[in-house]
Amino acid sequence: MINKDQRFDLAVANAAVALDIAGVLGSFLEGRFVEDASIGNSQWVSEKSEFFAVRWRFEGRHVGTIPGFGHTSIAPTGNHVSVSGLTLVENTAPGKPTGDDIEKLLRSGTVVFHRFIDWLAVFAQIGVLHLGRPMSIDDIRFVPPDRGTRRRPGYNTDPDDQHGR
Amino acid sequence: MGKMPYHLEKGHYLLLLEATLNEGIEAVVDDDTEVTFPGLARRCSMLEYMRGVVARPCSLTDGESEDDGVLMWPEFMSDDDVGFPIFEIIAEDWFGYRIRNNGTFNTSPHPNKPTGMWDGYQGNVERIVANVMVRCLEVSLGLDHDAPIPEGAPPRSWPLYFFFKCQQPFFEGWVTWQCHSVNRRAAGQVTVIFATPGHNHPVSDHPIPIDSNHDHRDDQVHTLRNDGEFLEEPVSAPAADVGGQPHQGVWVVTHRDHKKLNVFDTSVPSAYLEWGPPLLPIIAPENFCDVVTVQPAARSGGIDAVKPGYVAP
Repeated sequence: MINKDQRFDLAVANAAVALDIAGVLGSFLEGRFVEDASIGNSQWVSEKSEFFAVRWRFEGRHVGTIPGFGHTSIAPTGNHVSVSGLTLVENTAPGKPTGDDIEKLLRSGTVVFHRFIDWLAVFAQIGVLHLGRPMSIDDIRFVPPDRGTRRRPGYNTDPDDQHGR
Repeated sequence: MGKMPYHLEKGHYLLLLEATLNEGIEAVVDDDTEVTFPGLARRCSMLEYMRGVVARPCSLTDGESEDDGVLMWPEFMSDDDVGFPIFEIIAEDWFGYRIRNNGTFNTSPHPNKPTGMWDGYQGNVERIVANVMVRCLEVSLGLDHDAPIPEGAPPRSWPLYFFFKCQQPFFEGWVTWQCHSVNRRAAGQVTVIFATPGHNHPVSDHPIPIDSNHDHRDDQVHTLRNDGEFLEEPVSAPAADVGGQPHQGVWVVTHRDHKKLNVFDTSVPSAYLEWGPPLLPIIAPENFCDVVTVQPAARSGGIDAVKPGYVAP
């Protein structure tokens, strides 16, 4: 909740991003929005606007249809999907009171969202996109690839990988 | 083979493979005493050899043996028969082997890399190919799997035809067969389709070469050619080649040109809730009403009237 005298700040930006993300991803993912504070707070002012950087993640299960071209669509798969993104919230009316209705504020057109979302990973998790990323032969031989904490950029050069080169 | 100008491929190597296994098959008659034809002995020899390839040990660490691979079948044609280093191409691009300075193959699996030229894929392509060869040869001869190779005439002698087609996630061999008559030994055929992953070579999005400088090569895809037997809107499917031998052909029917839609910037700023998942890129024809039929030249994956023949080593 915000009060009518509040100015647009990082807390309002976070709330706005949560509504914006959940409002769209929630139409086909059953899950929840999680603010990721790992990069700390970041805000700056340009000539006309003020910006707030909000890193986030949306965890959910694919339960709704994703529209495609024409009559095409991606039917629900039931897959678990973890969506990560960064939204830059641009308030084009700095200093103006937000009012006490954030939905009304966001629909007023003074707030613009720049969304950077890892769609490649989303479609890969849904299974409609073949990433074509080479796997290590160890992954193939012994166990399914660990998609958890051990999987990281450069994992194939892990010293434990006898064949890394 | 080599670089791939279009999606359906035949080309010199598979034509030579067919010639190796089918040569003289048209001479086969329904009389059991007349079932020998030049390709029959080579079929039996290759079947026996490929069964040995399939049966050999395969190491999870070191991969396939460096000796006695599918390319080492003693009666196989040589690079000279093909006119370019086809065996190096197959070893490297298809099987993912590395060729040492002394010419031998390093067949161990290559960590962190896709197999050969197949994008995003690791697999034992040679072993798949060997199994495909075993199966298709057995079917063509009417033998049950792993049944002994008969000393005399096999139950049947169907011709074999090979194609390959990309792009799919995995490397597969599809062995299909059709019996045309149960009363005739050679009345049937086996068609093998190697369904392959995508490759790291450009593929044309237009089947008819765009040749503005009239050098018989496409301006964008070097190996898409309009020389040789290239035909736009072919009319006849001749039964015989220029040598009077039974012939085959391949036509491609598709749109004249294609384009990829919907590659755009998903970070373009927008208002609250006015966004959504990006639409996946889609291939669309330039002209929805324009469909063409093309007979590709052999160097573009088609079949010329003058086929390469089997050359005894």
